[in-house]
Amino acid sequence: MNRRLATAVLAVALAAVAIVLPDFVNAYRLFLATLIVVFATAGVGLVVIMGWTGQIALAHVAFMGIGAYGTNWLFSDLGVPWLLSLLLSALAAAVVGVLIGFPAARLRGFYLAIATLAFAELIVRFFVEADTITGGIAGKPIEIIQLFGLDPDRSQWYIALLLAVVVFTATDRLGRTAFGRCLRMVRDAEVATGSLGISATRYKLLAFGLSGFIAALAGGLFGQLLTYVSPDTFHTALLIQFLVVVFVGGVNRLSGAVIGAIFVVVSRELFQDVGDWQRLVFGLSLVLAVRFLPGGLTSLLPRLREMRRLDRQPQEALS
Amino acid sequence: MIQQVIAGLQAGSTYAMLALAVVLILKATDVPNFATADMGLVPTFVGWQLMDSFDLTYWLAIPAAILFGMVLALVIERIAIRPILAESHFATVLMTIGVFVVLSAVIQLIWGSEPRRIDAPFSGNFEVAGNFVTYDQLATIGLGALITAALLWFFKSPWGVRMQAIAEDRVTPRLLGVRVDRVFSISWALAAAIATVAMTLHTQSTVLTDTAGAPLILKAFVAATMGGFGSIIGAFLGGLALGVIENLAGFYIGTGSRAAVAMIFVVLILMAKPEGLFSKARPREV
Amino acid sequence: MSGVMTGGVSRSAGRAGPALSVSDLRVSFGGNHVLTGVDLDVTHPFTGLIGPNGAGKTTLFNVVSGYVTASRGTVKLDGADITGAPQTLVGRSGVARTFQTPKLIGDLSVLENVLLGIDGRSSLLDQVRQAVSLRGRGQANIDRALSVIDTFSLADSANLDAGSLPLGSQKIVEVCRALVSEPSLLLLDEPAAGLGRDDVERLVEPLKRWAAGHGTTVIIIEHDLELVTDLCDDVAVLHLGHIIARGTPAHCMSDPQVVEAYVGISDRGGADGDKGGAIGKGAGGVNA
Repeated sequence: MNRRLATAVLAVALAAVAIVLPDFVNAYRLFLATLIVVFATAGVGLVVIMGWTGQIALAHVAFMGIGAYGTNWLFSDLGVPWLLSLLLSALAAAVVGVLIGFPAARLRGFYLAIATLAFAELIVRFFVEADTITGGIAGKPIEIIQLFGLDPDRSQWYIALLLAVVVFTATDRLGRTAFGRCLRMVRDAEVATGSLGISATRYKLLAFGLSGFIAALAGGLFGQLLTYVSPDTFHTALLIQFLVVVFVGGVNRLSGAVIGAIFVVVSRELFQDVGDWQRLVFGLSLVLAVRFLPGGLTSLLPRLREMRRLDRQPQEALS
Repeated sequence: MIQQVIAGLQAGSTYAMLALAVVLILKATDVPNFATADMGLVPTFVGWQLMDSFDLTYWLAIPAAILFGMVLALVIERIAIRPILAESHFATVLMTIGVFVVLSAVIQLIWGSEPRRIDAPFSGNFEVAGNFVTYDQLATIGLGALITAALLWFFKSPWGVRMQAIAEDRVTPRLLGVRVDRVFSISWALAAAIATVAMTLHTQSTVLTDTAGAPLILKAFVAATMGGFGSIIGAFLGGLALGVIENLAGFYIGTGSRAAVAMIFVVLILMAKPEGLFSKARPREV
Repeated sequence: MSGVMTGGVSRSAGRAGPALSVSDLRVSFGGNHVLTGVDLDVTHPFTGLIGPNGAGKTTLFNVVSGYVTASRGTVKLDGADITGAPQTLVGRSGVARTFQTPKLIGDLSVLENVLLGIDGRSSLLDQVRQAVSLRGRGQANIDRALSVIDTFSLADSANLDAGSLPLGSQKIVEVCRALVSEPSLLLLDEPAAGLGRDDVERLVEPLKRWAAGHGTTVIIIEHDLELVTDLCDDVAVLHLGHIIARGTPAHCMSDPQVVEAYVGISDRGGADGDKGGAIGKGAGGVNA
């Protein structure tokens, strides 16, 4: 009962801070905060497909592109209300995710990595070729929306927050249901899924679709923040940043997406003026994270707990 | 059209050589190395630097570069890869991606983004049955075939057999006293040498830039996929096929289709036969 | 595949016909003939499947549970033909199994691991309803799972991560997961492997009670012949892909053919077995 109360109080406090934040920080800092929220939201998709379902799916940023381009095209060119545009593009991304899932479900490990990379390339190639929708290689400016007449940075912040809250809570809930358990079974014991009547393929497809959906939602917002997107925006550089989110944050838990997002956005900031160093920092982060903390920072606490427990009972602790 | 095929064979030989380097490391150490292309690109830049700043001739600089590449591979294998071999495939894939990013960042930091030329003593061409073949193309295609043959022979030899046994079962060979770490190191060094040759040939006939690695590594994996990742011949033929089809598609359909070709290729193959076209499927163990 | 039934139906001990009926089953992998014509009718509540290593016992399980396709022969579950049925269908038809090493999810709790036994066998609609409701529907499943966990005296560990438990407990968790859907047929693959006497007791005693209470048919692959003798009233001996003996444990283990099969293997493998006479525990038995 105490815990519940504490969590509720914390939630209210955070909400209060979030609502008044725009009044206390300058526009640029607000932009960074919004970027962190958007990255974390996109990261949730990676938690679902990589962390819970164990699939090395590297097409994530391409789905963000579908969200960004799709939302803008529906909203700006076709006049569909923004929120509806966002949802429709996310739906489209989910469909593409499931389509990719069909061949991908039969693959494992690095075969899967390569296949998803190939699909990502194809999607980016589509962005380049479909220039009536996407503006081709030159890219496209994104039409900014404003919430109730608030200025753009504020409205983006609130929208991002709202989206993040919805995505995080819904995904967290999902993770605690049979769906979440089945995903983890696909990750850890796929060979036994059939014997329990669980169709590994079905859950992989659902995971691909869901992670695509989430990525596109975040992507739509990402477009708003960048104000201009081109096919290259959703290519290798961004993928590497999200791999850093995954591996520095840790992708088994939702909190990992948040920590990873903070790390990446802060690093982007710090090394912005020395762009080449930025790449090096990300590469080293990946290497060091995989080398010393494969579960990411969020695995640090459980790991320490595990080590202490093993120290206490060396004989019994068999895995 | 023959001209296109020849050009395709040249590009394809590059893909094939990189694919062979990938397969070599995979066969020997069970690591899918996404850093392979850049492990060849860094030495290529070093070679260029030797020619540019120290006036070394091509024939001195390139072997020196190859040597450098081998040392670099040994370092990478020792400090980045070997410690995490016990981890999942996930971890090793991400590690090699991390290494790839670090290497390409280093290239960018040291040499920047401007394109450079390698002065290769391969100018000129000759005519065969009404088509022109440059010496460059001849060298590339020839070396590709040579390396393939050498690797085929190597894996039939006692060294190669030992290497494969180790990749498939890390415990028993150790118990039998085989120096597993030495095998790992040698295979990485060899793969780096092949990758350096491939990247040098590729960049000397196109242009030497810092971003040359990324598109090639994907194509190398596509080619290796065609061979089921275990077959030398498969990787070689896969690379050549990819190069030729890519070129023909670019010529007849349009340049935009080139990139798509490789990707559609690999997707189709993986769908049809997830273990690749040339591999022997093993029964599932429960 | 006519009349495949949905899982979770309890049966009384007096069922008509064998729970499992395998006829002329043949399986080959490449040139390797693993099963060379197996005929087996399982009628007793506890049936042991024994034989030297490589005899094909796990392969038989794999065929029955849909992991491997037989090149010839039929498999009938309570009279219904399930030959060639995919794993998920078999799993939903009242067949449950365990594996030589437990296939659990380390970072989920014992309770959550056991719940997976119900998750797969509920319909999609049920799952959606469960996901959307705030409480209520999920509780029934949790209670079922907890009741099985309690039967095996693991209630204290219900919320611990499965990966933190010792091997003996993990094997029990896997059995709980298999039992929670109340299967009519349970396939146990070397449940005692790697376990000490105490752990085996913790597994076997509640299992006996459960099977009796639910009318479950249990087939056990084991190398621990003492356990087989204790638990099973019916034994089938598999050697080189077919059944060479059938009957009570005592009968099988004194069968000269069986002795020869085990001794033949021990001679080659160098393990000590009783020669000439009945087979004792451990002869030819190499734990996986």
